Amino acid sequence: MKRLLENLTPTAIRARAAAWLGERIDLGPVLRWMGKKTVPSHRHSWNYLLGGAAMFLFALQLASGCLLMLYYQPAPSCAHESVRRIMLDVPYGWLVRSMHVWGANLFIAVAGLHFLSVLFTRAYRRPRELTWISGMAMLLLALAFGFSGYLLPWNELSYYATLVGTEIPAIVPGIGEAVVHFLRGGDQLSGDTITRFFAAHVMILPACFGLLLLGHLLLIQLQGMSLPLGLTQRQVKDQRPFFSEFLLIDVCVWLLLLGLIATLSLFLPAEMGIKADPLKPAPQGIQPEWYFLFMFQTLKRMPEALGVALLALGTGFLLLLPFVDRNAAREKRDGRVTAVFFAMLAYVLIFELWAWLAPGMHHRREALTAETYGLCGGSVSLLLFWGVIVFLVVYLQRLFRENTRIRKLYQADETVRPVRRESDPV
Amino acid sequence: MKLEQSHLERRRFLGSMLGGGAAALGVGAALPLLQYAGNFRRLPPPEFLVLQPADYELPPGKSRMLMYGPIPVLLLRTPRPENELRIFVATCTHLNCTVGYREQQNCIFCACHEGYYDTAGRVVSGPPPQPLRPFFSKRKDDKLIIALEKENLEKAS
Repeated sequence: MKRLLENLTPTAIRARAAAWLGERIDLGPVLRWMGKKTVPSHRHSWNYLLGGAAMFLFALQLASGCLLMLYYQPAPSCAHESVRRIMLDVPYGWLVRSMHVWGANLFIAVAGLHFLSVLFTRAYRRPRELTWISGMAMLLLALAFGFSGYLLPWNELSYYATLVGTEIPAIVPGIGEAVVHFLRGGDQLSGDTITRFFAAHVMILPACFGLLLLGHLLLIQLQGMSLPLGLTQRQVKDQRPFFSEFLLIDVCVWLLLLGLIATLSLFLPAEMGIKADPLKPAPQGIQPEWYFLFMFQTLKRMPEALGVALLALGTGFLLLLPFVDRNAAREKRDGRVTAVFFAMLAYVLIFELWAWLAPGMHHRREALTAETYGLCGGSVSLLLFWGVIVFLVVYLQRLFRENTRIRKLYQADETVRPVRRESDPV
Repeated sequence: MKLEQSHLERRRFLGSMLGGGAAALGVGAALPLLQYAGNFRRLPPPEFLVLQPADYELPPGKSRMLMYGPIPVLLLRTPRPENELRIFVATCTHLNCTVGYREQQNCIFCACHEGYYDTAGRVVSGPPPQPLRPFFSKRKDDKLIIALEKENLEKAS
């Protein structure tokens, strides 16, 4: 009996499970790789958190998207009704959909910050050209996620945003009309458009994004973390092990993001809008999501061909940037390239603000009347949720400091003690 | 065993044969897939549409929308003293949004990128590059026949 109890302790169960797995799969190389993976510690190290944060948000989108798929129906006659049902009838449907909508916004924002940090630290430089291109492709796919997901509630805003967005390729001579037809599944926006946007949003884009993400991560593992341009190895204070230290800080950021999304979802739940009707003219104040606003303003203020050509040129320049900015590979900062970055950033910010501040662009928020939605009760739940998040963050930080301390002790020990060779007598 | 040039050439030949075969298979699969996904068969819009008096009779300064197959149509009667019925394809020539008539300003307006047209369909301001496309119309008894091509009006009669 005593022996049986000894065999059932958590340590014994873990050891037996590890032995069982070890007999079938040799985990040695994986564990050795996990031990070797490090992240350089310097004054710009926070940049390394952004990619992980974007990845976490993508995972959160997959999870909330799967939940939404349980009730959503992609057809013009019932899409808006099914979204209404999710928001009002399905228990906590408002929370799941709001988290999906806010998660999408934060995903684009964090991916954008990741992009900017890589851009300004010139981390795209040789030999990381492929990492940059795969990252850029993922950023474009993230925008495609936003664009395809925007149509799915089939409301007036999304209907006209899609109508305009899918019309843009028509400007390309020759194949433009065919591309528009392909995107819409016909000449006009119809049921065929919503089903293909749904297919793209839940299957095609995630599959492409997943493959690119795998390639992106593989390249990062093979090449290691890059250092910002101008920073030498000597300025790197420390090499932190990823799994025992850096990941803990990563998880802190993820938890804070989760809290932020839950807070935004409670106080500003996602809206449903008015059901799209092709017989009604486009409503006043129509606009796309914030991350397309600068493009929207470009199309509004410039001749269409010029606007589209400028946007295409900017995207092409960014995609091929590692091959354009040759000086970065030689560890030199090219002032002209920096000037181009700032000019592009200024253009995006000015056009965003211009569109944002235009009169008639803001509307009253819809009031939500779902049975499970209550600002008062929700606030109490949210407070408890934040309590758990803060608790976890505090203890993750403590574990992080403890792991660093133990590692430093080991390192100090190894520098004092002469390294023993295997051939030395014990 | 010594590798001879002929072995290498055979290898290259087999490689190019397999590569060519794979490319042919890829093209063979891609063409129908593209046709399937693109659904490129175009359904032409109806040749003409017959409107009953209830569809087209409007007081001055009022408008109505209806569908011509998949195409939205804007019918508007200009205010007095003009008092004329005008019929346009209700899609903005800029980026295809549906336009609407604004009574107060007596103009046609596209909210997507703020394009303004006058009641004759001419661009007044904003990004639209061309005037609105008008419909051809013809009265027959108390009915109104509208068509995108003039010759189709004859078919209707």
